[in-house]
Amino acid sequence: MVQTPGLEAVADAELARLVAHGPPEEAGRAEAELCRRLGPRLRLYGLRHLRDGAAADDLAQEVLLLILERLRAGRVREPERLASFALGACRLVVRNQRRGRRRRERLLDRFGGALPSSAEPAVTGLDQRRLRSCLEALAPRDRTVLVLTFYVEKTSAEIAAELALSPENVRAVRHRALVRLRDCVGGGAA
Amino acid sequence: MTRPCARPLTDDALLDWWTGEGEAAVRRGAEEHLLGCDSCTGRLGALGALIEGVRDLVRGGRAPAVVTAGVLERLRRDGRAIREYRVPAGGGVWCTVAPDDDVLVARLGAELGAVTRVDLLSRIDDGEEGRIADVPFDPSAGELIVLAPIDEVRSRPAHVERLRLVAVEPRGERVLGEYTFEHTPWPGRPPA
Repeated sequence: MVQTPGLEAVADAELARLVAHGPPEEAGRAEAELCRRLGPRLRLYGLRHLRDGAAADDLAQEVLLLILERLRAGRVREPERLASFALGACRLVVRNQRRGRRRRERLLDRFGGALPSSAEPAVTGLDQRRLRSCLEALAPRDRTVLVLTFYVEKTSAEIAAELALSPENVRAVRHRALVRLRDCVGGGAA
Repeated sequence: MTRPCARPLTDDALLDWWTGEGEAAVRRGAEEHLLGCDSCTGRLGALGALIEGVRDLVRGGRAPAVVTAGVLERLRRDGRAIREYRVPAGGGVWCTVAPDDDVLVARLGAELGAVTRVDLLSRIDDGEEGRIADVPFDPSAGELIVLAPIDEVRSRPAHVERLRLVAVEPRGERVLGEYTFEHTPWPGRPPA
């Protein structure tokens, strides 16, 4: 999303005040800038808590609408605490989405075997070929820890128990593996 | 232009937030910081892209790795079609990869309880034997689960792959099991 000219350096709280009390044109520009900034932050929150891109998109949209609605109505009392307000709204939306998801999972458990295989997963913006060669260049243990952490979402304590390691060791392996992977994908040797 | 952050979160703090580890109060602080900071959000976004990329590779059967049973359970929950070959120590199997298969798995039976280091050796036909040193394993599992790169196996002509698991011990090496995979490309049906 394109930045709103003249508002790039304005703090979030000031943008919130403009949305609430500024002249209509200025308020509209402030809204656009606020959406540009908050959208990616909210989506990441959604990805972290919902582990699903589409659900994260829904969360970002729902929370943005809620924030704008409250700002326009002058119902955000402390604009400098906009992040806190956003956090509260995110938690509420996540709780609601989880309820819906649990229901979907119960249905999947009952009827999932009858469903066809899902489509090929969406490819991220990364160069998958490069990522793959970088992943294969990692030590076997590093690769396993990354797969268990990021695909199965196991904690370091759970991984440690499975692989007869200590949780501290798993955290150290994970940190090292991730730095190597990031450096490799970013242009280092694969 | 991203506005700079006066107190950027460390890589470990970002990772702890993402994985839900570390102290709850620290995670809550990181969460609120992220909702107000473009710079740290950008760094977390880059981390998230890597994580998502790794997930895509696993889901697509294109991330060769030694894994645990939890990975297979998750793949099933994700609706992936898994072709799985269980081979006991000293055993062999006729195998193939169907067009609809998403993930290819070899489950190598072995007694791993009293072992501290395991190497996995592999030879295709009469080629040179390759060695993957110090593979991770669950000592109580009674098997080593290997995700094979499905696209590479699918594209190969008929071949025989021999795997060996060896325990590396102070007094030398001890073979834990040998496994033979006789691969036939689809649509050649594996003999009964």
